[in-house]
Amino acid sequence: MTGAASTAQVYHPAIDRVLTSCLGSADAVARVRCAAADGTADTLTGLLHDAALRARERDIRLTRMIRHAISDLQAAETELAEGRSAEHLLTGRHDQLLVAANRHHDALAHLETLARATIAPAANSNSAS
Amino acid sequence: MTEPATGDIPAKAAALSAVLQAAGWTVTGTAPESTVLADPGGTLRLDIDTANGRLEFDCPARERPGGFRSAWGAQAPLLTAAVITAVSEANDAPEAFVETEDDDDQFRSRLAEAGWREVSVHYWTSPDLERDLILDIGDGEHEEPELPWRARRDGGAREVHLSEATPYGVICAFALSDDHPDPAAPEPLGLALAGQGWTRSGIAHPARRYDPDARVWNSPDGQVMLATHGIRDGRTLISLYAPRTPGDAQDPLWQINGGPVPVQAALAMASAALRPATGGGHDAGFTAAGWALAPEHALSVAVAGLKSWIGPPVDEDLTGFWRAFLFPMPTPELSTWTVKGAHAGLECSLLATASTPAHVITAAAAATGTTP
Repeated sequence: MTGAASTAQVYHPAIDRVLTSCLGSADAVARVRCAAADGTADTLTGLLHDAALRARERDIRLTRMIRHAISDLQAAETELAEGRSAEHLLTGRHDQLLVAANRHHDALAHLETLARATIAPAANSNSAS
Repeated sequence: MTEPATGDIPAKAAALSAVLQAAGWTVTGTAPESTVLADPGGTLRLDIDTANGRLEFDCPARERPGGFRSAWGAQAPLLTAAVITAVSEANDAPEAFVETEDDDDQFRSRLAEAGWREVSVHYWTSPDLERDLILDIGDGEHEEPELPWRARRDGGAREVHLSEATPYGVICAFALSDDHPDPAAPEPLGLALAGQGWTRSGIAHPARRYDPDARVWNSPDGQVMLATHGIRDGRTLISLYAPRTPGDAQDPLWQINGGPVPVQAALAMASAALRPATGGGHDAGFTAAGWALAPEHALSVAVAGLKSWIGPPVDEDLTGFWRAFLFPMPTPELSTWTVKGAHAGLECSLLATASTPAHVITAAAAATGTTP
């Protein structure tokens, strides 16, 4: 959410690790965070910050959905063992998990692409000097 | 949709802001049609659109040792302070800070314990079917909503939209909290009186015998009491009186009852009641406030003692005026003032004992034309 993005101070540890790996250091991640929080981020940094929050949302959805599915599978097992239908617990779950997994994958790929794009200008300027 | 009438919204939004501030929320920003508050914990931001009656919640991500709470946001129509307080408390609860992910089973259990039914995947309904909760995850092909959680009330008439990563406890607070007004919560007039040193009377006050919901206030000097009898759209029915002995509502020295009056008018009357009347009786009091004997007064001299005073206009067209009639009875104790006027187009009607000071009566008209 845009509004939430404007005041976010920290990234989820999992996202933080991805960013640290891509940007090369925790300090570089902190600079992105601070620039976004105090409104001084350039366009690319702003996009990276939004992508970090988005990736977290995709991550939380996939995780919640997997846990939801596990509970329903356990309930379905009980229903089937007692000779009842479990259709209502299983219908459509495959498609939903697939969509959530694809979006999670896309969000992480987008995050990594943006992170590399963010460090590229710095790398170029270093090589030029 | 059963949204409140547009004219009610600014008053309701202002009242919500006042009640939250009394509960410890702080104002962090104001604009002509917006008030931004921070919750007592200092983490949750609430932007109240006072013109349109919309709420926007905004919470940054926060990390604690062994726990993490994601950033989340929500957009909502006006909710009561009770719901907003529940949301704020859930947001700061340890459960909102989870080691890895929050507990899906616990979330579903909470809804089930409240009698909610999981109709289909990510869709729950309340026992009375007046509320529901949906996660709109889209179909994978079309653009999905930015705020995919929807907690609806009143058969869908009021809808809260929440972001994906909203903690489960906060989602439950939005969905499950009752939003009936808290009868003990201070209302705007009470807050204003408290700000001027008035104190709440004990619940054993006689005024509560005939109105159990009455809120009775004592003036700082104990010489005047004010009871509020219900509030609607920021206006209150009041009983303002001077007890013969402190705390006694049976046989006051004078009293003026009725309304509904907006907060400013009630405050003006309460403040006036603390000031002694200047000499010269009612005639001098009305005259000092700019009121005049009405033209028809000269035609009514056949009724001995009748007084008909005319005060300030109640509309821009100058077609209506505040009026105060004294109906004389054989004894002063039985004589009464009938006071009629309007505040911002809403009629106000008060009944006062003959001994009610003129400057208290005329104060009712002091806030004419103002909003609640």
